[in-house]
Amino acid sequence: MKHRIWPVAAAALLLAAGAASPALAGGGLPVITSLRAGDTDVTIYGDSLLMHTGTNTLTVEATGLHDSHGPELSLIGPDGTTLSVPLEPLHIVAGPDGGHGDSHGSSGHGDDHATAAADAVWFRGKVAVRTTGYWKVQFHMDGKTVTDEVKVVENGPSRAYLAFTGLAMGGTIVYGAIVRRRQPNGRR
Amino acid sequence: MVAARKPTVSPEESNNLLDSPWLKAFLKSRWFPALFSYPTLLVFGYIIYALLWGPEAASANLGTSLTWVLWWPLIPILMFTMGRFWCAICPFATTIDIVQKFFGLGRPVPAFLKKYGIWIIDAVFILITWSDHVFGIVESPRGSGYLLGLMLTGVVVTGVLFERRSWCRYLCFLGGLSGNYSRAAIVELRATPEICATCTTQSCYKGDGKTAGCPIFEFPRTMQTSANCNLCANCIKTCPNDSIRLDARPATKELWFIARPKFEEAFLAVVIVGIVLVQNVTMLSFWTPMMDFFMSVLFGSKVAAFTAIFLIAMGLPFGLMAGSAWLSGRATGESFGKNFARFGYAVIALDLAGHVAHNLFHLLAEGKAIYYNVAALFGHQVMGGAAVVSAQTIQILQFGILGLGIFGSIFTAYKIAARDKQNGMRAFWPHLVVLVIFSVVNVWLFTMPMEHRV
Repeated sequence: MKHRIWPVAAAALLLAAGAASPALAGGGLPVITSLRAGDTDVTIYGDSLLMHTGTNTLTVEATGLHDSHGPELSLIGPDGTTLSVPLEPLHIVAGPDGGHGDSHGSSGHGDDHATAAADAVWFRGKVAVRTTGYWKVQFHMDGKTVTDEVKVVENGPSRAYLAFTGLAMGGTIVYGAIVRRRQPNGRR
Repeated sequence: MVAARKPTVSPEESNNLLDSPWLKAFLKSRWFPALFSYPTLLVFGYIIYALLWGPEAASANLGTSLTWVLWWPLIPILMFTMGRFWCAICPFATTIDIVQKFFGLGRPVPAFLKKYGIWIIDAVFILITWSDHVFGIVESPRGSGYLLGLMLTGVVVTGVLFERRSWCRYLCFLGGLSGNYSRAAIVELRATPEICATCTTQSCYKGDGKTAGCPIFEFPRTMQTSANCNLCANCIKTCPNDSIRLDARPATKELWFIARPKFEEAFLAVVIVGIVLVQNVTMLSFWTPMMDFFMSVLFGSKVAAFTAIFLIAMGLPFGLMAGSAWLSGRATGESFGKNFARFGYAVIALDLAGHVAHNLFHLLAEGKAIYYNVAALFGHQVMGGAAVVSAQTIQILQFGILGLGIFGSIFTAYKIAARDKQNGMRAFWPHLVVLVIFSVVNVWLFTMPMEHRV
């Protein structure tokens, strides 16, 4: 019986070794807004589908920028609050496939970004937003200012979910504590 | 007196890792497994926070990277090399221990859980896989957070109400998965029958007052499978006679000699074939056109279309295995259920290899996402390619692992069949055909382009 297994196993191994497995590039960071001023295109990526209360990490991709040292990003809230986003240059690291996202590459959104990095300048900054509603995004560079409006939503999980899990866990713990206290020695 | 079982590894071929004095001392010390379990609990706490309150983009969420790019791919590798050791340091297990210390009622596990626990695990595993694709659990940090939070709720509730780690033994779907994979592992913890024959304390099960007994209800003295041993070392600490051994063994060896095969455990092994199939298929380039086709015939409903494909993908491996069990059983005069239970375990090696190979892609093609997100946590902004090694290297590793799994499954089926000297060959052939079909499908799936998690 042993001799009849080996050819099958060997054939399967050969079949396995001869195959190829290319990878598709995946999705990247969600775009919050795209702005255009003259020759310059600016795309602002968020860390979530929509901007949210709490800390947002904003990634800025700018193409056609003449002075890459002085872009300024700020947010203006519904109540007039102005928040400045301290932008820092983003380090782009190439992947083992040279940082280029081709159809056979094995990397995700980062490779797409890395490919685009050849003619774009990247910045990243964090900003803490406290109120929901429509905020204005203002980007200033090369002496030009462009603005757009973005929606800011409440961050975090659904309150119903938190209430359910919190009550289930808390309720059981309280029940356990009460039952144990009622036992003669205070423990089970 | 309870008779001690024979270990899978015979004394002649024994390679007891506890012969190493430093390893034995470490496992016996109070630092094991606390040295691993408490830091793991801390990281888990951060992961839950990051998943529920952190960025919603999977690629920017460290919780997602740590869970689905690092932990999930590493877990089957850990199970193969160290059995259910993860279960000893799992944050859920540590949570149970903490909750029980202060609020535990220590009630006996309900009989229905003992009887149907593995079926509940099977059902939950299928349900989670289905909901992952319908609600996007893996690709959504919030979805992952909700899943972990719900599991944590179950952990706390069962931890307060029932004795020991009932959740881990009877309800945790990962426990069911790791139980199956651990049977193929290269280490086993067993008692020495000759020493246990004279034991009167049974402290490995009951505890010795200082260290608790086996947390997942195993009695090492009679234990003949690694499925429910989490290598927590409690029995090593409590045994007064130094009976416990930690033997290195050939991979899959336990599967060759399962004395009392159970249908529900074999069923889980076959279900995992379907789950690996679904996981692979949904990441392939032809997934969208296939969904479009099913949606066109199912009134445009995405959920109905996915459910239909899901049922087919889950039903196909079971149908094939059931067919081979029926044919094999007819050849030997064995009932369908008994034959299915006996040979179902053979697919565990292929399951494990498929799981590792699939997730190796995520680990190696998306691994740098972990670095970028950890760097961002400390204020260093970096972005770029997510791949750790080239696509070609990943391919070679994937097919190497898959090849080993295919061989492991076929060889296991052969060894199971060979136990019946008279009808073994006739029982073997139908299963060989099905295993080859599973193998070819797996190999073909791994030749297709795959999409990323982050």
